Amino acid sequence: MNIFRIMNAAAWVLSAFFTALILVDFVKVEYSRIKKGGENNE
Amino acid sequence: MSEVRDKKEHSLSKVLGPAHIWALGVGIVLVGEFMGWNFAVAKGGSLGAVIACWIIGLLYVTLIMINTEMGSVIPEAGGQYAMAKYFLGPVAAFNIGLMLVFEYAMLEAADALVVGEILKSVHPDIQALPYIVLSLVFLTYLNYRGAYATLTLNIVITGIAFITILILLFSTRFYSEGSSLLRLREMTNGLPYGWIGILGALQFGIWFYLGIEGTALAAEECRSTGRSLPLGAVIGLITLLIGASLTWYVCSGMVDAEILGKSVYPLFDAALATGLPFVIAALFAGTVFACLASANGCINDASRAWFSMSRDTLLPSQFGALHPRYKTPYRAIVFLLPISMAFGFTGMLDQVVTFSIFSALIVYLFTAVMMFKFRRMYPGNSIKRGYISPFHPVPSVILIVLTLATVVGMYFGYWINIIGALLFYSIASVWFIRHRYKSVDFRKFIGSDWPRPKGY
Repeated sequence: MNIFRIMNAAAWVLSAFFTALILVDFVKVEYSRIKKGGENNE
Repeated sequence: MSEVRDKKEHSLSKVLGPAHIWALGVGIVLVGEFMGWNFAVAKGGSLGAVIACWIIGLLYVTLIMINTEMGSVIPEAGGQYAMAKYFLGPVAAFNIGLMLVFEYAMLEAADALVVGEILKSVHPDIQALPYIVLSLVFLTYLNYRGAYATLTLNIVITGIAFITILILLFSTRFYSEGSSLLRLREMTNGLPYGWIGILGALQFGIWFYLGIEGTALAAEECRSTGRSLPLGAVIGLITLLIGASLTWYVCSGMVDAEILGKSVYPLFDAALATGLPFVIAALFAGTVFACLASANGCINDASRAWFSMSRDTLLPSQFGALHPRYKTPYRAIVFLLPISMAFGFTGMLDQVVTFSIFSALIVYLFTAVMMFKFRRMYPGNSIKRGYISPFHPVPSVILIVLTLATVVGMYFGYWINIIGALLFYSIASVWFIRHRYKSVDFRKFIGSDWPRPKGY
């Protein structure tokens, strides 16, 4: 398989990985905020 | 007591030093030395391009002088937006905030587009899209985790990108008359369109410096705003003035003016002309790093402007939340990611960049007006300044004249974009006045510890 196609696929996988890292943390923070009773940081 | 705690909870963490401010400013701008500025050669010739480079350099010297004086007084995130809320009021502040967000969000999209295009040019099997998305998502993740890590990375990649320009310069053996590769006499074409060509070249001369004023957006995150901001911004501007002159000198001596005026990557083309593989590889890496540093700084600045507007109740309060652990405006950062991606997917690089430049020019005009008002409201020692800009009002007058000259030059080629942008900001203002103005909480908008102006 062409090395450049592998690089393209790796770039997609890394993009998905970093998106997941952001989203998981984002959901965790929002969930704990809701559990504590809303916009306690505002 | 609760007010102090409340203020602490709403404040970004103070972790940045002068080197980070330098990296933020130069990082955003340096990409303009790797591409874009050279269209000034097509508009005004080789001599027109270097004159435009220095005239616009003067514009930015005055801008940084003004910006730094006002920024050192207002240790708050938001840059010119934060200044506008103290000196001009909510409607102007809303517009300036919006212009800053669009200036940086669009520049970020343009940077990511270029990263994809450069990599694609290496081999036909390489696709641009995965690298555009990866650049945006990875840099957003870094920004999400904190300004310190983000701007420390910017120090490294901006430094490497600047060093590659020096590698190119020394590879030409410019210091040796006998063996120098530079052929300025044969390659340059003087002033083919006369003085009107210089006017047309001004808008592309801006590429050498556009975004350096974004240093003021990090004011709140500086350990010592009065020291870090002036030091980082002024050294950054000196770096850019030197870099711009070197870039023109090397490119004009290595690439024929006809080709240079149309080149997509002028510094890389100059490296190709040396025929040295190491220099070519270095400039390739330098171009990619410059784009990434710029996108990184843009995410930082756009999110700070959006966050500040929300914290001051000009936008829905949801965007004003800080991450409990990283102390970053995480909602603003995540919200702006798809917007930048949408601009990136349009693929219209010139349109995206023109909107960004025009937004910046309007902000410069407002900045000069604010300086007049600031000096009138707080004369002499009535407020503690970290830096005092000399020769007032000369810098403000120069800033207004040169900004208007650049807008006139831009009008010749992009009048539809200018009218479209003015229409967009007018509609946004009407929306703000009709729907949002009544929700503005003036106790949050202007802090209670802000000193009242003379004669208040």
